[in-house]
Amino acid sequence: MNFILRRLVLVLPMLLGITVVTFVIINLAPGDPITALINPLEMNVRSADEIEQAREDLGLNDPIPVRYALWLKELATGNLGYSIQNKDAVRSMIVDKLPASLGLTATALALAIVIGITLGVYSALHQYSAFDYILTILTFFGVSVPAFFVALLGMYLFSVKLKWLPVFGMWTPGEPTTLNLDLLKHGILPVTALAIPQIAGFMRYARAATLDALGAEHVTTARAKGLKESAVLWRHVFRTAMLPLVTIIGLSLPHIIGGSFIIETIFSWPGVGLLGYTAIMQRDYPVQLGIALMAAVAVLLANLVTDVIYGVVDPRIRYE
Amino acid sequence: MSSHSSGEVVLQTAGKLAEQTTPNSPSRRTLRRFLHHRLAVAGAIILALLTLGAIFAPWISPYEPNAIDLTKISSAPDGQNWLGTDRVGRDILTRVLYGGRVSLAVGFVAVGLYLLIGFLIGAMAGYIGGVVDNVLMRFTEIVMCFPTFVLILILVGMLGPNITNVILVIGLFGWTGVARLIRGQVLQLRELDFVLAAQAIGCGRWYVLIRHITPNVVGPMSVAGSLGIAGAILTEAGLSFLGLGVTQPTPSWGSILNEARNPATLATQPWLWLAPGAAISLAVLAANFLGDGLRDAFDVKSRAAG
Repeated sequence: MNFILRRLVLVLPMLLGITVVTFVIINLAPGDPITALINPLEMNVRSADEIEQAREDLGLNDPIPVRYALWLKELATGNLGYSIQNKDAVRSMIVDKLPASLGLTATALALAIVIGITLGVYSALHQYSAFDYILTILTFFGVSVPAFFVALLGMYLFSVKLKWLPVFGMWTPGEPTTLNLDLLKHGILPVTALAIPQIAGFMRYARAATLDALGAEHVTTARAKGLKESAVLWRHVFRTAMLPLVTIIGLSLPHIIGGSFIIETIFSWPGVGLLGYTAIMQRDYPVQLGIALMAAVAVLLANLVTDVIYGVVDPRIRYE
Repeated sequence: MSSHSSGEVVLQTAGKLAEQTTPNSPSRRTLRRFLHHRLAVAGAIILALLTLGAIFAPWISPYEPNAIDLTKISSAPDGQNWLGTDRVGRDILTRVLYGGRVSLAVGFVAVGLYLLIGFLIGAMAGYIGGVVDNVLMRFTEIVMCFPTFVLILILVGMLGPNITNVILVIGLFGWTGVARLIRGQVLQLRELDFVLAAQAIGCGRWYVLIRHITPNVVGPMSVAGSLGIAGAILTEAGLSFLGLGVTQPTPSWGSILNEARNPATLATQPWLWLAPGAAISLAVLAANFLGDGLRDAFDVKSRAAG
């Protein structure tokens, strides 16, 4: 309990830290937020006084700490600012695109966890077999070949040459936008491209963790007292090995979010990643930073959850 | 007589011991373990070949990387252009060779930069401890919350896409894993007997850190460095592929691949994007093999890298 409490107390300063980093980056953005709001053609029509007044009204002449406090106050009410491009609220723009991204990343992550852990454990139980050797080489390819190259190869092979799968988007235009076969067909390539590096990553960790657990003394004890091999594996090896994997899942989240930027862009998947890429190309800073901030907060919370789970299942962590 | 011969025996034994200890010194042992790791040696050779190809590109290829030849637009691989040409007739093989300059330089320089930052932060946190450790590690965890690739995309978008900015931004955000790795190593090392001995004979605090602790983190640093080069090459390729890294006409593996975002190019000119994609994959694979071999050779237990 004490451990969970301590972990919770740490979240607040971390959240503040994330906002400070974001605020610093906002202030690195070139150009003046005011001039960005004014149509360039009206620039010479507006008097210097008018621009100065606008700066004063928006609090841009205040010292940086005051501006940070004002920005933080807005943030606390859920205001992430407004898009420079179309004046929409950044928060609602992100919320609109969130389901498409969550569907893509969650599917990829779930697939990666199941496939990666299964193969990794199997590989460890058959260490030095041909299967283990081939899988180890394949994991090297998995973490080395860029996801966007996998995506391009998949598109070339399955969409262009074989014409089995569609190239762009989530649904064929005209099809109902529900959970249907069309969505599944559109999802196969992006999910696979996003999942492959993760599968390889989870496999490596699962293999190493299982090998570690196989060598642990309590496993030798379990065998020595005559426990059935299947019981040894399930009750002692698997449970010990899966513990560290909880944290690895939390740590893999930033990579998946980063990967979804490229994959969504390649496949025109209408999610937050594509929104972010478009915002970067259009120099729409409020949208970019809103996405970065929300991604960081999501990662922070995911790490909190995995830490707490880890603390609950592994008593050693609590009394460290 | 007997005293003479026993003296000789002692000398001989000492000589034998010396012969035996030298090949068994830790660095020799590490080198031997590394050379026994076939994949790691292959990785080192591949990286060396790609680097040599990039450095000596002007002597290897008869073409200029940006030379436009309108008589050979988008031609498939043939005897003259082994990997074909792009839509303005530039030779792909030449561009891939020259592209290695940017991609590998970004990998090496950016990783050098973040190894330095990571070492300074990690060593300070681990060695000084207390409040400094707490502040530095919480700061590291905050930076780790941001998806690095997204931050890099945003900052390069703000500062303008060019090689210097790509190197700087990767360097400024890549150090978190290294810092945590080095901190862990320093925490362990500073409790060891040889550090205590150094302190006991009156070595200064910073002297101990630089002279006795630092040499012992070179191994883990080289592991993090080669795995980091793999990551930096991937990041640069991703940035340039999205049009946010190195811009035309300068070739980098990612920027050549950028052309494949055009569906027509993807479908009809696979030679244009297969070669740079394979080059990226090969370089990253080689760096990963190298890092893995170094990890085994130095026997680094920590999994904090990356």
